[in-house]
Amino acid sequence: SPPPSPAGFTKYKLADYRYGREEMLALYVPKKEVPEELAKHPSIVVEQSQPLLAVI
Amino acid sequence: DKQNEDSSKKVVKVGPGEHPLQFNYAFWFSRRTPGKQSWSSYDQNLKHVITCASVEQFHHAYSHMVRPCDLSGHSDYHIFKEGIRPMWEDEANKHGGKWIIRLKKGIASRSWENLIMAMVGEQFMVGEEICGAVISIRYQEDILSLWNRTASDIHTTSRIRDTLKRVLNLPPNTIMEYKTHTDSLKDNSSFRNTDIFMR
Repeated sequence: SPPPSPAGFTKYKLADYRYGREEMLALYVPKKEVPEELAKHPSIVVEQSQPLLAVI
Repeated sequence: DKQNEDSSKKVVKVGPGEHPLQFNYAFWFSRRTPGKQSWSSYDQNLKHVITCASVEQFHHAYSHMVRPCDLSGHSDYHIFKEGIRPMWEDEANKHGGKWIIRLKKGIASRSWENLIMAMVGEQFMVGEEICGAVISIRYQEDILSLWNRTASDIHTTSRIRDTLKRVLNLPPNTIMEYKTHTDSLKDNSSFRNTDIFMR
């Protein structure tokens, strides 16, 4: 039989939707247009989408 | 402000073929205006930017936002679960606190990216304890904070600290500080009088 879980390990319900770093990186696809809601805040908008720093 | 309230309450949905997040997350932005600061000015300066329901929506928003290192002045990005305002007084935060990591100038953008990808991807594995994250751009240093619901739960806060070290790849001897929001309300300060822990 498997060893007992360390104390507290079972305390939290595991999320249904989890994404590790590699999965997050793999799901990045650049989109040209600025999201509509973000466009209302021009001081923090970058017109051209930037690649993730993790892959630079 | 009315427009702010409306935009934070707009219903967002996972698009066709997109990968749902466990929780919807909202980006907020604030920049200090010159002059004496008060609670009401903090609230007024806090702007809801956009809410994301999927990994794709998160990437879309994040990739078009100015990087933290390129922000000017006294600015903060906040990303919080939908329905939680990035304020000490919010129902979800009032018994909570935050881990604080002070960053030397130049590494804020990369650390922020690592932290928020881990957070929205549910890498902390502390159930519903995480409330949100903040990057605070200041003159001498930048400060990363991760807020959780229950400051008194040592098991949870230790687990969050250990995951933070891993996802941020912090060097040994990095100082990590914890501060309860109750203490922040008492001394009206986010980053002074913290409890210090050495890695």
